Amino acid sequence: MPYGLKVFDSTGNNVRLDTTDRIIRFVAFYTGTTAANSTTTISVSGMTNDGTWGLNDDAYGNIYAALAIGSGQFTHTNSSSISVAYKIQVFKI
Amino acid sequence: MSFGIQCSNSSGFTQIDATFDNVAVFASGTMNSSFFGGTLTKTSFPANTPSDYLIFCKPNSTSGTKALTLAAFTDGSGFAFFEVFGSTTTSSVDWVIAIRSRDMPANNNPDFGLEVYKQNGEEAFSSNNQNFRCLQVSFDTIVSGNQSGATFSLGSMTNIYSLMNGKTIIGRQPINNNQSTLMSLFVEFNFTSQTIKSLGLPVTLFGPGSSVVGGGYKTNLIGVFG
Repeated sequence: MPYGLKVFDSTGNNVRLDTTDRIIRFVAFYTGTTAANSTTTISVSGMTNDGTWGLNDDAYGNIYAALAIGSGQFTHTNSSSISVAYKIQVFKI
Repeated sequence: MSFGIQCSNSSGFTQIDATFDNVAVFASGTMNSSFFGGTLTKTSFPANTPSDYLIFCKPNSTSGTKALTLAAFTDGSGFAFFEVFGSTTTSSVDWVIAIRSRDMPANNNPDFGLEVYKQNGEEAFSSNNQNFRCLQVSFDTIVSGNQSGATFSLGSMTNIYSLMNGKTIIGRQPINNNQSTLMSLFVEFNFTSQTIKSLGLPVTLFGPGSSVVGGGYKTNLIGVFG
């Protein structure tokens, strides 16, 4: 093993972390409401649209809600005529 | 970085940094899927499941093609996996609930491996837990009710799970003058071509109405637990 960290479970037979693994890490969980035809902007330190940041909205009734990753922030845009809740998971990949 | 450790994989992606929370397996099991007009099979969330859980699944069978979508009940009572509208049979589905390492039950007898804590004292990583090891990732921008997302091609489909959280219902599509179907984002596991992809497919009947697509965004992840 020329570099990196390899961690085994208690049996010593199963690898829990290997040097080639790409691991997801939870950054934050945001909940709130975006008003009708409005956008909510949420700041996240270091966020950038480079393919290593993930977003998912778990809120019920989010059919008209869109997410977009920006620089140091993301937006939740509600294009419907009623307010919608959001439950957004932010993770690094 | 002023404290802790930072561990990167051979491609330079950070694995552990003692700043963000690594993800660990909280619960797992096998259940039947459901379909419109059939018997609902719902699994209750285990006690102490945090609100920011991740749900992964894979078909128990390793042949043919299977498309599944997640329904998490708004009262927090549980979750189900649905087949495409028109299906009349259920299938066996393996599921995993993953949560932040900090929210895992306390390990009172750590005796091996590696534990990493954040500056605030919360656990960031523990080798006592099974972790999600991501193989591929894609991002969907929803533009149509029956859209097709990026295809993950794999050398082996063995024990590959897909993240099911996030956007599910994406619109409505009429099937005649009196009825429409709700369109949902499904994950299609194709064991013949060894591919996994997200697809917009009908999941249930809905009232009359014109075609509607709400838009949105979803992060797709596939990988293994171990």
